[in-house]
Amino acid sequence: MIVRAPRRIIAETAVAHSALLETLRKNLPEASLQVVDRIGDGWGRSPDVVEVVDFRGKFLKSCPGTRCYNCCGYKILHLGTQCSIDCAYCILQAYLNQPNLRLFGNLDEMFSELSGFLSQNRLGLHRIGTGEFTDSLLLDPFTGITRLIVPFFAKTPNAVLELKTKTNFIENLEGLDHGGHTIVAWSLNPEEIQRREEPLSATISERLEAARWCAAQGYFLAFHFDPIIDYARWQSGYGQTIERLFEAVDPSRIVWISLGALRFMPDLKPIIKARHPSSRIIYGEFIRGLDSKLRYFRDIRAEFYGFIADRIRRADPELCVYLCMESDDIWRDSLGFCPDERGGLAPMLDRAVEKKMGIAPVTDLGFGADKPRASE
Amino acid sequence: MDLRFVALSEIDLEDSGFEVPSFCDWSRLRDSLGRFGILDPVWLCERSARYSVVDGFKRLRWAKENGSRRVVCLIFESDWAERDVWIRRIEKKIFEGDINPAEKARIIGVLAKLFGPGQIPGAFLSSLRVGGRGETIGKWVKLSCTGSQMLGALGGGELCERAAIEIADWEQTDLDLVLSLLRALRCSDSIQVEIVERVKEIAIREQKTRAEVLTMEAFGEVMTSEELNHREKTRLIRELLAQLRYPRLSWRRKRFEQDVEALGLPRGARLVAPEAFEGGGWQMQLSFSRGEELRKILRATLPLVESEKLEEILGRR
Repeated sequence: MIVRAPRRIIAETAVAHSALLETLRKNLPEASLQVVDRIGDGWGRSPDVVEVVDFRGKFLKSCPGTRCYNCCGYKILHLGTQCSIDCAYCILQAYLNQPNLRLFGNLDEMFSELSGFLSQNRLGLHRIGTGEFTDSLLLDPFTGITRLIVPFFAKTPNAVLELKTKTNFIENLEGLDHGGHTIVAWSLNPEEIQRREEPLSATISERLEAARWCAAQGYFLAFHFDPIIDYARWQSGYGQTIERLFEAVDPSRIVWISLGALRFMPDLKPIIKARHPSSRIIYGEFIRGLDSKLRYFRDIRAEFYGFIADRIRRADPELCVYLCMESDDIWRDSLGFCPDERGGLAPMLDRAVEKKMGIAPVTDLGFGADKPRASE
Repeated sequence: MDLRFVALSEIDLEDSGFEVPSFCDWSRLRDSLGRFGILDPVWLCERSARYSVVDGFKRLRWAKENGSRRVVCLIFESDWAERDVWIRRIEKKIFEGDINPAEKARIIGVLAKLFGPGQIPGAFLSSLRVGGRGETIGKWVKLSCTGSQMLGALGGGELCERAAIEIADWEQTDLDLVLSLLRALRCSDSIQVEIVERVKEIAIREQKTRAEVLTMEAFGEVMTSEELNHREKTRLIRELLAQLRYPRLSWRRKRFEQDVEALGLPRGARLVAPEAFEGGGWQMQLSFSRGEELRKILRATLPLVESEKLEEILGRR
């Protein structure tokens, strides 16, 4: 995969002297720099621009989840917005008022908020990821952010970092002290879907090669069959990708695999139609879900999940497979149980972390309930 | 501009360059002309040996039919640029109000030529209630070129504006087929849009042409039936399209109906599936008027509820 290097950096005055901007300038020597007081919404869309803003919101958020469906209790570390991989189904297309790649330059404040959260929440286990509003590694060759956050998580006793990507930009992960606290995760689809709907992303071979390399570096891995897309040859397509996955990596390195069928807000449909006129994904058999998103009719979803989970179990029956944003009846239909029967989805994933990564949820701070020591 | 009487023989009645055809009945205008004559001057412009008509095509037709020799006209002299004449013509049309979709298509087609599709002044577009997006303008422009059959249906109220916009870029064969279907069904605007969208989506899903979808045997059977009226035909066509667009869901619904029937619930008891079978919100509805009736329904229902058949229905895929 080749990333198109941004040719123009627009930075807000407040972050004009930030370490992030300095790194960007070093790694993008050809790019012009414009410093402005405030980058508002609605600037024109340009794939050549990267904006660096002084982010005033919360860096750490709970995964928005969706009502009526089981959520995994994930936390999102918000480092930037937008993605230039431009997959046909991507929700980020709907963020029309902020169309450009945007990074948050005040990383010191991000680390301070993260440290504060972790020191105030010393019980349990925190699964934190950066790939919700942007791809975790897309701009990493220029920002080098992983060189800061991966070692940070290595020192946290009860938190793991998940970097979710469709790229193979893993060079910065080399030689980092990750302490076994970082999971590098890839979204997977059949080759045919990758070519058609995610054409600017790394190929499936490139992703699996990158995963193999990360595993060799001691990183743990995760995979997300999300969004699963309905098409004529879906069984052979997904079957082949699963085969290739287990040929490429040792299942013992995989912490979890999630499955989620394509779903989107109805407002995204005309956007996909206009921006990706050759894509047929919006013509699937969608119904309006309990959360008002368009989802494949439940029997189709259950069939996807049952098939893919079965193929995964053939390779490793113990591997943690979970469904992203699905109801109990779909869980039962496709996986044979629902999360509540195993203590809930979040504890299920916590157990997977404990089993594979050896990081257990903290249940007791050693001085009674969660009460700080007198000296703290 | 000059206002004067002009002999009909001086006017090129065949030149329709400035015409904005309405494709609708003008008997009300005929009545008025018959009673009061031409009250509003016809607009002409000097372009060649004879005058071209700018506005007043119907009035002139009436005048000719009724043997008038001359009519009162507003003349745009030869130094008027065609573009300026058109702008005034369109401005007048807008202020007269009641522009039908066929006229609207023609006007937008002209405006796109005069200004370029992306440069049409917002005041025109907002008066015509058209969004300024390039895609929307492009569809209206295509619509203006679709020919008299389509514009006739649009102006005559047989085809609604939204459905027309959806089909504006279809091939002529597809257009002819869908138009003849909608004309025969005489359905509401929202149903027209639903039918058009379904045909389009089924064609894309199944990788067929729209014509292939529209000429499916099942459609033919419904449309050629002499026993069904247009409402029944509309219902059946919508059902067919829903089955084609949502085959798995339709199959499941049908199967559910068959299963419930086979379960043999007593009268007054009804099993209701969640919308699109999504989530766990199944319902058992009991309708009764007396306590004894309820007890009877419950006694008959309980064994069925306890049976494995119910689990099969709830869990069937």
